[in-house]
Amino acid sequence: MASILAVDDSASMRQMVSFTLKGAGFDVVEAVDGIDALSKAKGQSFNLVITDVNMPNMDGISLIKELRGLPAFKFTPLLMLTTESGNDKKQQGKMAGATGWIVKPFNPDQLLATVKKVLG
Amino acid sequence: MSIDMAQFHQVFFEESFEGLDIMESGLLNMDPGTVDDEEINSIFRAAHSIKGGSGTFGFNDISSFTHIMETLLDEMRDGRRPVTPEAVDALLRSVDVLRDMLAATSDDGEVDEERVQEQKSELEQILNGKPGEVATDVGAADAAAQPVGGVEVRPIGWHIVFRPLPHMLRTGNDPLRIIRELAELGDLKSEGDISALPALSSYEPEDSYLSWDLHLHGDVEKQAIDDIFDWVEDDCELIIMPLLPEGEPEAAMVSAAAVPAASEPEAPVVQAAPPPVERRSKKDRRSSKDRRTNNRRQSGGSSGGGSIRVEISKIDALINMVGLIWSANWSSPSRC
Repeated sequence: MASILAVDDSASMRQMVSFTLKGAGFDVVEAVDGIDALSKAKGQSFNLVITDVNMPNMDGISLIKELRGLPAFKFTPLLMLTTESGNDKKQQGKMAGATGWIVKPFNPDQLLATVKKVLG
Repeated sequence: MSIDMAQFHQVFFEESFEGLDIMESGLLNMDPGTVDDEEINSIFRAAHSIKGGSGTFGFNDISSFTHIMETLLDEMRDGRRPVTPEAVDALLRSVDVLRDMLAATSDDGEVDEERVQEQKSELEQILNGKPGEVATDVGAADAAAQPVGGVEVRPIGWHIVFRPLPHMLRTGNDPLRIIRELAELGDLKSEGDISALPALSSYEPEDSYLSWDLHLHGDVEKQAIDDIFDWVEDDCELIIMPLLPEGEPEAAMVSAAAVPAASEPEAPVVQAAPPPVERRSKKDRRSSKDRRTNNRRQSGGSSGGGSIRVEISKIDALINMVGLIWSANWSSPSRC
């Protein structure tokens, strides 16, 4: 089964994302910020990374840039969680190597539909 | 799949109260005039998280209240708005109001609506009083979306020319997944164009070389197609044209390569043989709108290498095969 790295500094968002994905049968590893995610990504490979943008220590855009630079993540779908007013962030994310985005707020069904889009 | 979102509420409230403490102590420490970047960033992040979480978990009043605070903080941290003592005081009062809103929601208590509205007004006054754009770019993209070129008749489907730029795979996007999504919208006929594939010796395995000429039949909104290409609009050449009931554009397709553009009123629709794909560097980005317009203009150009009709599954197999050949070649001792 596909493994997903879910990155968010907010525990409730992380739990919601993780619970939803686990319920759909995915293996999920959680990380609390970019630094945490990067070290987990160096330890094992993932089929998908879903990351929040605004986080302490290392934000989502920097994380995407770092991940895209790793050979194991060259083609991996990297999705960012962004807010409705985040057109700027979407562009920054794309420049950093993001595959796409999920617009907040989203519900579990929308999350799964988007994940299916890149992992189906 | 139905998930009970209530199970996450407790954690949301706990972290939101923690966020409020961070905001409060940050604001109290703030020295108007000399703003510490990390300090204001952490205040902003706390507001941003509360807004995002409350929106996700359905607490819309909290979300819209926090959105105003977040907008103000965002302008301050970007340096678009000076950090005045008045603004800091207003934000501190807003933290109190927000704490009450959260507590009332968490305990099923009453929210003091009047106080919320008053505080909202104060924040809005600060926001509107000084220059600094209120972040309402929601819908700006929609406004820029172009109408389908004056077509009154409801299209019976769409003709889509999809040419991934060489770097597309390195964004984590896969053209085949995109095509599969399109196939879920209606009856999809796909024509693959392999004319851009170079000789094996100059083949870059990580580049995209294939392009597709797609006919999607069915009652499909253009928005649904735009949504599918939303992530890759800067990573491909894309033309989306309506298929009209009369004029049988499908039939015209077959001979399109031989028909000069000028003699055919539906010219952009029937250009089966596109001009050579323009190799564009990432630096040379234009807005997708410009690009689409530009593509239409380009599509009146000369015929390229012709095209063949291939099933998606065969293209899939072909890509796999090319991949295998390449990896076999790469891993052979002569290359090491």
